[in-house]
Amino acid sequence: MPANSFPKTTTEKIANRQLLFMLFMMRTTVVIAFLPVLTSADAFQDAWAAAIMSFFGAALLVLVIAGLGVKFPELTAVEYAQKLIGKWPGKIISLILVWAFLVIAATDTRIYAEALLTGFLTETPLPFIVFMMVIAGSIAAYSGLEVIGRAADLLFPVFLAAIVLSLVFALPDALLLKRNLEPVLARGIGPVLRGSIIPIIIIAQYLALTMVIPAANQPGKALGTALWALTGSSVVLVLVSLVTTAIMGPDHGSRLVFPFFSMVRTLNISIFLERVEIFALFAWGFGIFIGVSVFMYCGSRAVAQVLGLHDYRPLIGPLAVIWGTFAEHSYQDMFQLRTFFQPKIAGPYALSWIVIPMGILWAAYGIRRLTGGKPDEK
Amino acid sequence: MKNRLAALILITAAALTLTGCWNRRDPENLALVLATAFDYNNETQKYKVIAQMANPIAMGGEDGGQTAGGEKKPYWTVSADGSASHQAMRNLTLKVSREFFWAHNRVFVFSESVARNGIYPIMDMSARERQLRASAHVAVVEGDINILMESEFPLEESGAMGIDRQIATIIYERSLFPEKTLNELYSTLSQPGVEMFIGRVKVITVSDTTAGGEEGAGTSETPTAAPPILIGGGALFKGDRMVGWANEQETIGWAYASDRVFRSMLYIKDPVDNKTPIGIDIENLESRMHPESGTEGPRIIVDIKAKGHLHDIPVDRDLTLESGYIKSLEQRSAQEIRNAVHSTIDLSRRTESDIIGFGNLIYRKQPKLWEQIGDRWYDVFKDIEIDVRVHMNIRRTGLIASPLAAEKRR
Repeated sequence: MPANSFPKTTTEKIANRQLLFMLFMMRTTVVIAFLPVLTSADAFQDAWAAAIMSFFGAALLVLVIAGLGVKFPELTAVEYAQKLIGKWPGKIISLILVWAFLVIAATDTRIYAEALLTGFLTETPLPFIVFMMVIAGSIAAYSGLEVIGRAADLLFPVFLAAIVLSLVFALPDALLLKRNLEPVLARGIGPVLRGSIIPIIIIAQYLALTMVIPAANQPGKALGTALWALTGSSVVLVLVSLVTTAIMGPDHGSRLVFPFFSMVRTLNISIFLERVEIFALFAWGFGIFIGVSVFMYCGSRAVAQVLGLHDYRPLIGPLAVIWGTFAEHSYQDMFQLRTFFQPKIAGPYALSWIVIPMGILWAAYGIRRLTGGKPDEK
Repeated sequence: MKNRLAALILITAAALTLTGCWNRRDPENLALVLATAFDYNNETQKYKVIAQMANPIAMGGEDGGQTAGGEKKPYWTVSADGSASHQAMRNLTLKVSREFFWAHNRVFVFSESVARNGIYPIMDMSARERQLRASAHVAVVEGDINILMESEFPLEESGAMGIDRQIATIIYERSLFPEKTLNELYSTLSQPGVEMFIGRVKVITVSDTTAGGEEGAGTSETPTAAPPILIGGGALFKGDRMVGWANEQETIGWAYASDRVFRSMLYIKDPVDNKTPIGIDIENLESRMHPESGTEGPRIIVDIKAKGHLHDIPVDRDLTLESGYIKSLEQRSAQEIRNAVHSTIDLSRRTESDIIGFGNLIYRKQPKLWEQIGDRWYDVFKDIEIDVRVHMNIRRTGLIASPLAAEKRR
């Protein structure tokens, strides 16, 4: 089947800057929400080192995820998968991506809902919060990627300012308690590596790139943009883990459900200025909203292309229901959510979303190159 | 037009629902808790919670507050029992007409009996409970905790505000109140080689105040006019159990060694006549500790650099640089600081409660060594050499350069 007969559902274009903002917010929100460098393993006071380590691991995976997209700047992963390995195998591979988008969007939403339920809205039923976010995300996804891009433009400054403010407010306390960061790297590299596993595999979020690159107005730059977003997000992660570990203490901090949030709650800038957690919460809500919108867009577009539909938008309604239900039912309680984020469970699982489809596609690409065929032409 | 209507409905629906509020809980119908106290009864093995709530009717303000709430106290104190701290807190509801709201709680106080029994169960509850904030001040009460919670502070609206302000004032003015918030206690409790040190609030009973003579008519007036509490000193813990009290000297020693001095003062004897008290205000103090491996095991160096100014010098002395008088004042002050730190170290050794965190210092700087000695730290701590080096610098004399000559003062 020639390439141009695939449904071109959209001619939307987003600026490189907007792509950067989306990717930055999407990752930063989740990695600081429950601070996996500190809570998922035994890195304790070396959590900041795990954060630095996670940058390198994640950067490697970004190359794997986005590298092919740059080779096929006009096509989404669903399209080039079918080109590289044939129609039906390509479609089957694409379903893995769809599944990944589903799980990631549902998990992000669920973490956010759990935080609100634990901290603020104790009597609000879980589905209510989940579906509010799903509805907001669906409307954004229905409006298209350009709209999500503009929303990212709008929310990014607020998001960044909120995080920077939280960190600045926390600085005096963190300096007072900086002894909690010692001893530095006393237990070798093992804990650092274990702590970095979860933040590395959270990069599975950037699978969104496989669907978004064709819509970027400079697809060739998308890989660089993704790496810059990752860099920015890693800087924030390192700072947040330093400050949070100092203030909450390595041991107590690693036992918290939402360490960054708990840290911000303890701040008492003066008698008149406390309760600054509202900044962190704003940032969180905005970040989740952008993330979920992008995943819904990517997921529904992927499904539309697999099914050969010309428009992804009719799919958003039914998919939103599945998403919300999944967020509600895939985890029964906080314990299951925490269990899921153990390195030995989420690690291989999320890694398989990246490695299996991308591995097969890269292999096909490589073979076609070696056998002399031009991989970007059938 | 149709689109506009749809958008309007959508926006209204979003505005109403996206806040996520499921029900109504008006702030004016809540009982705002300002201070919470915990007591433990060893016989019944029950926790007792005493909550002090703001009374909005009396707190109302200038307009009408005088007439409507004139007879009512601006706060109200209620207590309840329970086998666990949270159960006791829930049992409070049986006695109060409004729903409790704990987010404005500013002060957490523990009675001596609950402190000696272990405060971790309460710390656990307060970290779990979303409304309580770890930024509240924490104190251990010496004396009757019920009197503390009922006591009135002449300058403040409520007792809780009084305790809170007084603690903050003592921290900044005298540095006689250790540890800051519940949150810091957590990180201290979870770290190896350092123990919790919580500030002391002492309830002054009538017998303490030197009202003395006029027992008959005066007594009804005295309790309200006298200061209700005295803040200063601290409670030493081993693990989560209190093991002893530190007096003010031992507390300031902790502050000197732990670099927690905002302002402090020293009184030393005049080096010339060895009698006249000379007052020195410490305006800045920095303390650094580091371990050194000496010939017989580790050695700890505490380096303290203090800066201050003369405050009281009622005798005629030559304050010029050449006379060396200031130098000897500096030496005496340094000795005074050293004595205070050593008194704290002695107390730590006696009670086996390493509140300054010398063990923690070794854990942080020499983790390999800590692995060997961590388990028997208090045996090591008994004989470990701790070298306290103090450098005092008196920089100013206040607004007068030298005191009035003796012969002019008659």
